[in-house]
Amino acid sequence: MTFDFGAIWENRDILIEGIFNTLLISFIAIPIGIFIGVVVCLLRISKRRVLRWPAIVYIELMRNIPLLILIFMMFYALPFYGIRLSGLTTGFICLSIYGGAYFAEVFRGGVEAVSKGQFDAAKALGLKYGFYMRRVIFPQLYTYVFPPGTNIALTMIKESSLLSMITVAELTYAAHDINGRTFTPVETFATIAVIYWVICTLFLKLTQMLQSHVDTDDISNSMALR
Amino acid sequence: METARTTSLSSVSAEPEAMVEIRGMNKWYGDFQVLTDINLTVQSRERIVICGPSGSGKSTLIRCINRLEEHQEGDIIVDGIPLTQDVKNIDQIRSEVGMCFQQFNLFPHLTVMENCLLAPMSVRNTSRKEALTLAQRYLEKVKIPDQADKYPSQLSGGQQQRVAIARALCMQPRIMLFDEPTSALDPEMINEVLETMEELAREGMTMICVTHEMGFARKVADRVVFMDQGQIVESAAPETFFNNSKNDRTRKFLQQVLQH
Amino acid sequence: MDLQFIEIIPKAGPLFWGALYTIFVGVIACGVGILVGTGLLLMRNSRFWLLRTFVRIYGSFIRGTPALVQILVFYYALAPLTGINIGPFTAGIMAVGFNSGAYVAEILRGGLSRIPKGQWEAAEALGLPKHKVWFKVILPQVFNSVIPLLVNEFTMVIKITPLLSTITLVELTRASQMLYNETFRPVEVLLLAAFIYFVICFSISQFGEYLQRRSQKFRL
Repeated sequence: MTFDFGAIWENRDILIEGIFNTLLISFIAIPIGIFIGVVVCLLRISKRRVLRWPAIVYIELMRNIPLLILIFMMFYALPFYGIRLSGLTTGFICLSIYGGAYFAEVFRGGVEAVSKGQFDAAKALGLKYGFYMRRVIFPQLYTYVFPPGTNIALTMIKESSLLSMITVAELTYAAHDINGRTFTPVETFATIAVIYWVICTLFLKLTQMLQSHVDTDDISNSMALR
Repeated sequence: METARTTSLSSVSAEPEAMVEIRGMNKWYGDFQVLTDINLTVQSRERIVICGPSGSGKSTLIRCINRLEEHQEGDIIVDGIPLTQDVKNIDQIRSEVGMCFQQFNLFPHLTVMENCLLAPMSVRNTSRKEALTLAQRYLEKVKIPDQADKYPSQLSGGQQQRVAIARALCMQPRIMLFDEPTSALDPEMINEVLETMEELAREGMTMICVTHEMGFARKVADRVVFMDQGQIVESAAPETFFNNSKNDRTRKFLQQVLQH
Repeated sequence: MDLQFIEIIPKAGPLFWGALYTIFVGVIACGVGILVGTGLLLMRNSRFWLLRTFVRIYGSFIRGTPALVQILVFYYALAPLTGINIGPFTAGIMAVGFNSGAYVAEILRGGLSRIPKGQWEAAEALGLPKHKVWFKVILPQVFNSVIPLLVNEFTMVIKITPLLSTITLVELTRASQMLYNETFRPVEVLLLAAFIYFVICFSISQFGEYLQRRSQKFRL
């Protein structure tokens, strides 16, 4: 059983373009998704039904419809209404709005986890709104929200592989491309699997470092008040 | 409960008679020594109460007897079986030793009856019919036969602890260990459990009981053992223990405990 | 905005078969996932370092690579590698099942950590052998406590099934692709497909909440 990784090496430019696009898509979609998540979360927790219900509908739609269907709808159905987006743009949009819904739920969970009693305690102590939002609520929100949030971001990086189905030249598409030229399915798919694994593991390490950095800083700073 | 072992009258060498024998037992958690030089012999049908302040190692001691905790030095022999790493020995000892916990530890996903049936059927391969008769008998003994189909969460604390006692009894153990069985109960339910334990004692069950209930100790115990900081400080019959203790630490403890 | 659902309804039969096939594949893959997950959980608690490390690496790999890639690996790479020829159905079930298994293992691990130590002690004190402690006392409680999470995992599995369209399985997504290629009405077809997925996943979540309400009676 011989493996021909040389064929892959020869086509490494395709691979590199794939990695680049995967990272590009992910790291643009994630911040947009977070932004959407914050907005939707605020709507979701609003006391006014007219703001709350659109948010609920949006979240439920994104949670119960597969991302691939969303992508196909945007890429194949939208042209019928005159909107013809490129694969890449479709990717950005779909990934962001899909992730946005999940971010919104995570943020909502965080707010609800902190809400109980903390606002009461802060107010009872006579602290002012701006002060306690910054020093009491937000640091706690952050610890609740960071782990699941990074999980969503990680999922978005992996879901970018779906865009290979609408011919976006990200990593999975690159594998199909190379395989089509060299007929080396084992080598190509194994290689991209490993590359994804490396990307994700590095991402996790990065976020772990961020978390411990922020934890010790913010929380102890807010504790320094004592 | 008849077995081949028990009926010799000799008192010179108590080894074959003793239900539990602990010799020179020492235990550490890492560098911290929790039990120091424990020597304790419990005869068949004897009722022992172990008391002492928190952290004195009394729970740890009885949990070593059925290997829920491991001792590093010394010997523990239960019903003639030495307690070692050997899994067969441990399993054998566990089927002879019944235990009741402070937190009851009933299995919440099983009914009262199922809680009692599980061990006899799984460990001794008792048939379901026999196990049912057994369970019925012991549930009657602890006075809650009518709750057999309820789930633990539907019972009061006192009822749950009594079920726990019945569950342990269904294995027909030769000795019962009680680890602060009433400490987690509301005051009005303590008595029902103590009464059940007293009846067990009256019927001749060998018992080692860790408890703060001094009234129970006075009434039921053959011997009271006082532990402090991992050591056995004093071991005496109740009259001596409560009224004539020669030991300072014991007296001090009794003063604090008997305030209420 | 000229939706002509009328046109596709008569031809929508394949969509419903696709939906059934999706559910069918989902259930089997989920079953595989639960078996794999339970196995991983037991291996994780094993005395053998090798098994424990295997579980960690396995989990890291599954969670660190896209499901699509895992499916492609199973379909394209497994056969040349091992000489075993498996059809797309088996490859798909295995890929999705092994994927789900890693996540199920994590769910079960969380549930396991919430079982009070006293349950282990009571079971051991009664003399129950290890395998009985696991299967009669501990695992039933673990599964009971994580039902909503497992149901959520099932919806995740359903949402992965569209990826199987890439390896020729005719589940709902593939069926809808075929239909809009035939009718040139992707809008209606995809909306219908989205609607069907929504109904499936939403119903499952509602069922999960019902199950959770029922299992509350076991709680203290």
